[in-house]
Amino acid sequence: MCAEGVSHHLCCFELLFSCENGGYHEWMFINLTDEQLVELAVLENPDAFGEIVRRWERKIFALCFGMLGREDDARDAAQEAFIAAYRNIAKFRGEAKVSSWLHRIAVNQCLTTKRRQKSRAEDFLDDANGEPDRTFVASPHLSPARTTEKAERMTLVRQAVAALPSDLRQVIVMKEFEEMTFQEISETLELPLSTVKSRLYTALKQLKMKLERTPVEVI
Amino acid sequence: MLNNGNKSICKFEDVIVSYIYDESSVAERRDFESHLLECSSCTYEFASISSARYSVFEWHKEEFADLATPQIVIPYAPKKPKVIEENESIGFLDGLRGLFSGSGWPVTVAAALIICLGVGFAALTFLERGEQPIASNVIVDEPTIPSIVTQEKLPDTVRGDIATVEIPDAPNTIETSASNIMTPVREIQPVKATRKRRSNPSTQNKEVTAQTRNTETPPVAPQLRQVPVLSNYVESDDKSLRLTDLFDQELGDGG
Repeated sequence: MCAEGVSHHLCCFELLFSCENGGYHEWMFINLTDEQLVELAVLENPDAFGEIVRRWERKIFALCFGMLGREDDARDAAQEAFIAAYRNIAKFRGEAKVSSWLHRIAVNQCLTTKRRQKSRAEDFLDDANGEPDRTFVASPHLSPARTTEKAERMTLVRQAVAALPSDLRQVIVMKEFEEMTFQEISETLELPLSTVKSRLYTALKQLKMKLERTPVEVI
Repeated sequence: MLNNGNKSICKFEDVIVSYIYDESSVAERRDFESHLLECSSCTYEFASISSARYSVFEWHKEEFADLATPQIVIPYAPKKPKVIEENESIGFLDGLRGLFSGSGWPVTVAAALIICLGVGFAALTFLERGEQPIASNVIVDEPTIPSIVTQEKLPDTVRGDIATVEIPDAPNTIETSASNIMTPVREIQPVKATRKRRSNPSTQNKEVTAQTRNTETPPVAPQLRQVPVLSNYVESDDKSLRLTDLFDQELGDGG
């Protein structure tokens, strides 16, 4: 008897390949779509969800890094996002794409992390932008002055992106960090293609304005 | 040309980002490039957007591209054991699989031991049946006579009759001695009904009957014990009634 909401062929797949140790092999999942993997994961198959994690962990990590600007925060946010996805996988109704669902969870996790950082910075009187101290490694190909200039420019870019509205920041991060096409962004965010392009245009324009206001002085 | 200092009056916003990210069609690309030659505001817009895009691209390249993907650890809940309902019947194979799937090696070892013992017992039983004759094909040879038993002279044609034996002084000794008697067995061919006629079978049967009557034992005295007859039996001299004789008689009567 197939479980409710689970297609029959996947139910047969589950019965055919399941074993006592829960041992699935990677080759079994290669040809399955994300949606089919989620159906298997709903049947408490951890290997199916492991395949979903394997497919999307890099992109979700990139999204978190672009949204948060710090590696440690991005790692924690990606971890929390996948855990949240696994805990709520039974609520996934298949109306949206799995990538959209994961992105929404990851963006919400990033916004939660941002709020926590903000309140923490206010509590502990951190610096004005909540930007912690960073260690830059000098490049052997650049002079110290150029290295410093580059590091300062990266900091400004990070701060400028972080200052963007979340919907604009999300589009620019998906385009640059996840290297998605406009069509993929449109499908993931469930927005018209023209809206995606318009948002990206606006994001880049505002970013340019923020960067022009704070020119980097080279000593 | 810009209106309000921010917005380009030219409707090339979508085309600019598509052109920057190299996702525009050939026609769009050709039209936009020809437009840039004529419109200075769009050229400025294109330059500023490209610059912003390059800043983000550089940030990605410098700080993210070389980062290793984190290892995501999902705290999977332990798998719930299957609960068998009362009315749910399980087959032999399901039970066997459930036995071996139980957690812990002692259960598995015990199950394997039981199966090995069962197979070994079955194999031994099979071998014993192959070596020994079945009970219907066996006759028991006479055991050796204990020295304390005095045997009367009995007709040779009688097998298995009771003889009267006098036990002078040791009434219980006979049981102990008889229990030590070894009864070797030997195999004989099963009896088959044949059409071979014997000469005058009715006369022979009468003789056997008469001989049997002569072997009637005298009344048993209270001090006497009964033991199995231990005579010098010779099979060739046995003229007793056999099953084959009956068959032969019937066949002879029937024609």
